[in-house]
Amino acid sequence: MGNIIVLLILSILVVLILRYLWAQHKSPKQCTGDCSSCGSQSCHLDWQKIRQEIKETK
Amino acid sequence: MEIKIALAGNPNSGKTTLFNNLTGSRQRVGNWPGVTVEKKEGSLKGRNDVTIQDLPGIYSLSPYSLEEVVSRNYLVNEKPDAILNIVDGTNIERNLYLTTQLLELGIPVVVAVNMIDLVERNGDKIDLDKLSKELDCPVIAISALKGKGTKEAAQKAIEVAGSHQVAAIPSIYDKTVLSALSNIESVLGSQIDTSMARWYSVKVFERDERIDEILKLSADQTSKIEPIIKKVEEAMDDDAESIITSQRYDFIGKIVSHTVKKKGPKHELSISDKIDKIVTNRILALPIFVLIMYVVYTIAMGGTSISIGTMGTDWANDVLFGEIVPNFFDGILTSLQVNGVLYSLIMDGILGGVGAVLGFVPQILVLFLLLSIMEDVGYMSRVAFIMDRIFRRFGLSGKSFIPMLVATGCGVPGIMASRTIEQDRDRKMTIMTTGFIPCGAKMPIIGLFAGAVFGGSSLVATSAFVIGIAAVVISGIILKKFKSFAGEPAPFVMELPAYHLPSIGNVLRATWERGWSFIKRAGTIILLSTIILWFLQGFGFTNGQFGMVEDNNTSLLAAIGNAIAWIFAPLGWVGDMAWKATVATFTGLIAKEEVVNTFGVLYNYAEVSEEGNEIWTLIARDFTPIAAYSFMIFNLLCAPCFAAMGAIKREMNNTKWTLAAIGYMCLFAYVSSLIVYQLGGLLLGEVTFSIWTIVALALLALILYLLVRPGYKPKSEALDLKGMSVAK
Repeated sequence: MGNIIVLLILSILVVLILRYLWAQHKSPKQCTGDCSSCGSQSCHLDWQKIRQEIKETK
Repeated sequence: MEIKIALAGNPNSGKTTLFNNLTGSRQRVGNWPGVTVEKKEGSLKGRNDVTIQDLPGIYSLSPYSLEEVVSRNYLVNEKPDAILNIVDGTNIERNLYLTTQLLELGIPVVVAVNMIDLVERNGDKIDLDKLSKELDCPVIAISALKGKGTKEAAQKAIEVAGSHQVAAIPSIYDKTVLSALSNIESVLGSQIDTSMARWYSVKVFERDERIDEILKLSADQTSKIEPIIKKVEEAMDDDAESIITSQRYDFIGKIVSHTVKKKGPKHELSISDKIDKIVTNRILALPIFVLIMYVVYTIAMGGTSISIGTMGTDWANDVLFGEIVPNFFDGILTSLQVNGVLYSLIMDGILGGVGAVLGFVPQILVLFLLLSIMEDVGYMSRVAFIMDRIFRRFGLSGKSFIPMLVATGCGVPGIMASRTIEQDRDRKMTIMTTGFIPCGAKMPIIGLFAGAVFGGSSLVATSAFVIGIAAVVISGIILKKFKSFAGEPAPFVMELPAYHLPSIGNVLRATWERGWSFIKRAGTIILLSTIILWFLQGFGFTNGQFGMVEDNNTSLLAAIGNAIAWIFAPLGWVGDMAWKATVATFTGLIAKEEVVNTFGVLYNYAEVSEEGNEIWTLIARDFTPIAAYSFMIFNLLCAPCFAAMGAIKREMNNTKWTLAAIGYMCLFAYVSSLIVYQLGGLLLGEVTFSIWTIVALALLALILYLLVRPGYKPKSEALDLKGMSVAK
């Protein structure tokens, strides 16, 4: 009985962790404006385009 | 109806502090460029209909940096209802340049003179009423840090936004320039928004290419405008852009002379200046920085009586995860009568592994606390300035060091922070070398070996940091000689904010954010990996039968490790520890803390002693000092964790460059480790002369050659005499 309880708890823990990691991976973080704290998968700013704009200005 | 108020101002003028104050937000306030690089919004406290927009700091609306493009595009294209222009009261002359440009945008402006408490403390006086008359817009004194005047400033901004009260444009320019601007406005006619006519006419006068593109001037318009500009340039004997800049500064100089009274003589040094004379001194700066880092690492990870981080870790390892937690779980598991396998999974696997990592939390927290204090006080921006001098010698600028400073917490945001570097080649090089700086996750590796093999010496941690910087410098010099990276570094302009006492709230918040991220990783990825590792090192084939093994040297994991451990033999990873070291290195790709977790699982497989430092004793038995140092160097410099590799891939946006970056780091780490083990070991008498000694010497010679060889010179720098002809 003890084995089953422990296995159950471990399984729930593993599932919760996997769900959390998947949710972190999928959900885009809200932009805080601070790139150096950003762990987001995608940025809504097109930095390449902005760099191009600077080159043209110069 | 929604009201949008934009916070605009120079870097370090206090915009984000004001933003946090007005919205109740907790955005990060930093002292170096790149902290705010995108606009972000929040609702004013108590007014859901009022949106406050924090913008990156800009010196002018003529953008030459990524942050300036973001801010300018927002102000010109999205036109907020009002601009709350934050002006640093202690640097008012420089800050007012942007103000003169904002006033031409045709958007209601409220000027908030920040740091008024510092102005008063310095004994200076700013006549706000006079300043308001000169600029023809409301001027409010505030102290964003102390929350003084901030509500009034926001209220004033809401009022002017609601009344659409646009200031009359102040008389910045003389009659000649004004006449030219007026003529340009006539030529542009209905093509432009009349409320922004002055701004557009100034930009056209300055020949701003971006504006010319946006307006799509016809040939006829260009033919009318160009003579207007040329006439003024000839009359004033200067180019259009310089004329505008010069007249703005003349205007500002006049205002400041009427409205600002300084207590001390003009060129008296402030306390910050006096400190900087020493701290940024050409000769003393670097030794002072190394000394400060040595003190930081001593307090966090050393073995002295002031090493509070180590005291905490010793307690965590010996008492918390050595007695309290194991006894607690032992009691529960025994009462539940779980079988030996499950018992081993939980006690030896999960507790052994995760406990080994969490044991370092005290050291990590103390380290992050000290780094946060250095950042909040303003010293870290001095470090970027100091490193700029060094980096410039091999073609990078101090702006490349900022991601590396960020990477001391975590490599992922460090790599992200590189996106603010304008030049592609410098950005690529920064991405490739940021991983060399020891991040928070690598600290347990340093802590483990410093404690187990080197008697808790703080020199180990300091040397790891110095090796990281050295790796950046050496890589920079070598890579800059290749065509892909050759070229002059971008200019780097950065304000050094005045030193101030650290804000306890900011420091504790920053420390907790980084520390919590470390703990979360331990409870998620590392816990999962522990279960897999426990299984692989606890099960194997014995006499053809699959089952639990008593000696993990015969486990599945040992078999996998032994199959590839030979690669690392030249680095000194030999004997029984070879497969363990190899496996630990590979699991470090999941997260660098995994290295310690893996050792915790592998070495904890034996009975856990009451002392709780069984692991350290076993590691010390398996690793000689030079092998330990070689292992540490390899793991510090090699490919980063998967998350950081993902960040590299996103920032490089190119598979070839991503693989090149990761491959370079692995190669550099391998060569460095090999040289340290073979040559260092020879000198210490731990290693005998062999073929690998010759290989190490050859590699050292190759590195020296790559450092001193002449590099690729771009065509503009090389004189080509053949194509030249003598002018008649």
